[in-house]
Amino acid sequence: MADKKFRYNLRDHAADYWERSPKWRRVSLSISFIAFFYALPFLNNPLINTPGSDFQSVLFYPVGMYVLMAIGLNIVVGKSGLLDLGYVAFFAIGAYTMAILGTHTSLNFWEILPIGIALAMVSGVLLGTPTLRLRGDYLAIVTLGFGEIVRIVAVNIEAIGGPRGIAGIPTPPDLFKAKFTILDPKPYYWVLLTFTLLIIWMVRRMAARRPGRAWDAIRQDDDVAQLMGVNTLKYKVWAFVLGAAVAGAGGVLYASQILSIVPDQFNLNVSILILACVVFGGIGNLWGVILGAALLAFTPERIRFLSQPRILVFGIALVVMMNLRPDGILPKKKREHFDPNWKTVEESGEGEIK
Amino acid sequence: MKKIISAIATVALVVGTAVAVAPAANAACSGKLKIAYQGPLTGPEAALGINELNGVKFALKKFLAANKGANVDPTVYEVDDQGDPAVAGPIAPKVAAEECVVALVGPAYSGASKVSLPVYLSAGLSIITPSATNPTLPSFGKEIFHRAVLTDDYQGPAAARLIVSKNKNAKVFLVNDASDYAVGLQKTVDITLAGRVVGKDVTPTGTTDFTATIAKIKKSKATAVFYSGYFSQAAVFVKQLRDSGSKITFASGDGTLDDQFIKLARKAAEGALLTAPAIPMETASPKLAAEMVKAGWKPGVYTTESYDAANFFLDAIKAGNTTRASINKYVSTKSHKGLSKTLKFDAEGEVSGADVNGFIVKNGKLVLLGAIK
Amino acid sequence: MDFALLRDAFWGLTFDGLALGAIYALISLGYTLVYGVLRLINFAHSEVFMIGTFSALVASGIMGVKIEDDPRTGWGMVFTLLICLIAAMLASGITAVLVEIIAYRRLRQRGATKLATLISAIGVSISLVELFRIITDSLPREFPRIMDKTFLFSYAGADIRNDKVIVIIAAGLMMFALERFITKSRYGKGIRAVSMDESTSTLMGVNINKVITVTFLAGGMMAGAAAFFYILVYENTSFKVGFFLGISAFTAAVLGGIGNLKGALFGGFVLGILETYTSAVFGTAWKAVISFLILVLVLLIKPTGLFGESIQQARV
Repeated sequence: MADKKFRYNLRDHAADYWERSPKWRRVSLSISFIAFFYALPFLNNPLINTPGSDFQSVLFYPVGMYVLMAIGLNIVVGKSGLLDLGYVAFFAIGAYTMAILGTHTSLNFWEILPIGIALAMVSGVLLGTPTLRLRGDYLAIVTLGFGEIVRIVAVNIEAIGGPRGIAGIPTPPDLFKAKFTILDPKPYYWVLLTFTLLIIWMVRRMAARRPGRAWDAIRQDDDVAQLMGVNTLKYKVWAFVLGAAVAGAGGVLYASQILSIVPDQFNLNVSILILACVVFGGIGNLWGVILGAALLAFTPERIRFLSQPRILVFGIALVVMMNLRPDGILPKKKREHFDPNWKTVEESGEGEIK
Repeated sequence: MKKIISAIATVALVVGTAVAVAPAANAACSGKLKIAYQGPLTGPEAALGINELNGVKFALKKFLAANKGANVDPTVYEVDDQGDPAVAGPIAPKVAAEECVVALVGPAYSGASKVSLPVYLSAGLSIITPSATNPTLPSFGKEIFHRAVLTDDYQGPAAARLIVSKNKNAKVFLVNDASDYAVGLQKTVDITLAGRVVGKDVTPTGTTDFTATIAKIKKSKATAVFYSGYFSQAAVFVKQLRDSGSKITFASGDGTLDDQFIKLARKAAEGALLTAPAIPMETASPKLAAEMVKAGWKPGVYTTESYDAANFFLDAIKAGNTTRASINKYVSTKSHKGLSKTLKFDAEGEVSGADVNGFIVKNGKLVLLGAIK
Repeated sequence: MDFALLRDAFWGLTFDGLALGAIYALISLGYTLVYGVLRLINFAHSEVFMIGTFSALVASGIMGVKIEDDPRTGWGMVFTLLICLIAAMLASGITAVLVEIIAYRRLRQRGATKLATLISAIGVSISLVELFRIITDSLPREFPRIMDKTFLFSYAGADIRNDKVIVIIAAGLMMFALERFITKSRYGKGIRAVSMDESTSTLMGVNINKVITVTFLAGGMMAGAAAFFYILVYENTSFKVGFFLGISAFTAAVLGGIGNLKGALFGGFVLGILETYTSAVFGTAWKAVISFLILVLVLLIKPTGLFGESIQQARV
């Protein structure tokens, strides 16, 4: 089984350092980090530049958007252990809300944003309430189906553009002199970064409180959690809905930047890629997930010069990385780490004679 | 130790931020002019993009062989958008920022075009698309947009007329593959055929079993079927149709006009009626097609149109135009006698005076029936 | 909605649905076997199938079959078809074993989480698809017609075609053979033991690595058989073929109760027929939506699928 020898863990190291730091250092570190990320679009470093695509645009999509969605999916998969393979559906719902309301009503981006989030949450409740009673792998196929259904419905309904999608989506109105245009992705990136910081703050608050503990309990053992009085279904639906809200917000912002959307963008591959981001970075650990998403979204753009074998290299890298670091690049804190046996109690119980 | 680490970390951050605010500079083109091609070069749609890229490469190679010393980069600037608007989003600004890219053949797909065109418009980059046939595209930037093919608005009615001319009392069943292109094309066929349409079905990309659709066709007593979609699935469909014993007329549009269709469907393809605003390289000029194969590039559907588009741009460069603006002005006002047709664009960037051609598959070969009246 | 079509062409649709279902059933056996033993969804299984189709194609080429040839007859035809079948089964079986070694083994031995293994398998899947895309120039490939397609007889408006009859019967035989293997052979017993309780079976002297290899091999060979039958009926393949059939086959496995051989068989046939019926009634565009809604309904009523999830009760 897992080797018990001490291995260097950047996550633990950084966490210890953070805990031992006085307040002034924490504040100054946080501020410099945040400032760094707001200034990132101006960074013109050949190491991280993207030959073949526009660096500032790449920062917004895919990098920033994947980071946002990976944080959202991490609430579902990482925190509460529910395998969701149809996460793109909520992103699509957000994007379509922006596209439909933006082209048919006079509402602007900021007014549509809460509607898009609300609709994504409602669909999260509608999907979650019946299906979250199912166990692990059954949930995976049902969510996968849901993701495909949303796409197929969008293709089949002519009233929302059918396969042609929706074009001419309005950009957000100016904000503090920042103009939102197709040519300048920077304001979008800053809005996205602000969203992301808000969500990070929200997730961290929640993880330390009752919902976080409930999710931990559910992830480790659903039955025991229920036995101990945790309303597991309620907290599962909550995780699902919060994840949906994050993706919905991302979808609204994305549609307002790209200006035209087609249903085929919201395919299964996106769901799988976001899931890969979560696991690749270090499932359950927020910073790992962020790093993983940034890397996975960035790599295909960075190696664009490879042309044909680009995706092949990406696939091989995924296999190699998972084999070398099965817990991800930045795994969860070791001291909380529930050493995952190959089978958890719940899983091996399923194989009993019936 | 800890202090040293934190000191280093702080310094690194400060330096990082300082580097971060250094503005990006865009140099003017000092080297050779570049022709770009944009379309799907990887991913599931790559076949079409590679057809077109080959046409551009071939045109460029011939041009440089004839004009030694021309200030044009011998390699095509390849822009792989995977036919996906989401991928095209971050790439288009990069292409626009490449000062040496003075002209672009593509984008191949309408969806990716909608995202890219506003960017190219603001950068003044002239484009000629060889295959994006969505009629609404000029509204995304008609100043720089040019299209080397006729839109679906022309092809659909022509296809309908072709079916009726071959089959006087045709009762037609319509099938599409749920793609943007297929739905748009089917709509125009539907309108022209009006009362002759006896049924419809949608078979999304990836459908392998057409049993139910064929049962519907048989029940509708249709005497012809129009399949709107791409060649790979069209071949599977027509094969199953013939294997089911049905002998009704099979017709399809330019998405099917590819040698691969005949290769895949073999005997089932026999007698198929195809239409296209495009013309295969082998039909347009067997000599050039052979030359192209010899050079290592296989012509396919839209290779001819890409070849023409690239040649129009190369004409402009040969005439002494070296900037995006002057090249755009040249292709917008002048004309080019291409293999497929004479390219002459109107104010919307649409080609005028072009025909939709009809084809029939005979003895495993694509035979040109001529322009559809 | 067109219920009249379903009524008029009922037997024809049912027969064609059965043939499609037989292919689904064979693929879903691979998902079910791996799930039974490892409790993992083998995401690379669809590519195991894809490689099977290409191997049958290559084998037909080696046998000297040309695209433009007329169909063969007599023993020559039977021999050619058998070689293609064996080639597909071998190639898929070996691929499945390699997938296990590359994507699963090291992670399993280090006690990695299920999700890590899932992503590793997805990585293998992406790599294989892209590899074949590059090899085939993104183009579909055609399979020569080795056996002529003829109608054997007609029943109530249903035309019974020879190739589909062969597929249904052969798939049944394959599954019967697999069932015998699982219940009677030494390795079959090992598979059942490991799926029941891994640590206890290790104590009882079962070589886990060998058992898992055999599981992947068996599942891969079934996918290879499915690949051959697919290419026999539909006569084409492409690098994308695994994706579309894989999702359906996986749905079939869950519908029947994943981890249960009988469930995979039944789920495959049910899904094949169901897809054909829903295509007829609601239009092919809605097929996937209706199939999934039915799956969700089944799971809500019977949360472990129609037959429950246990490989030990392997009976066909």
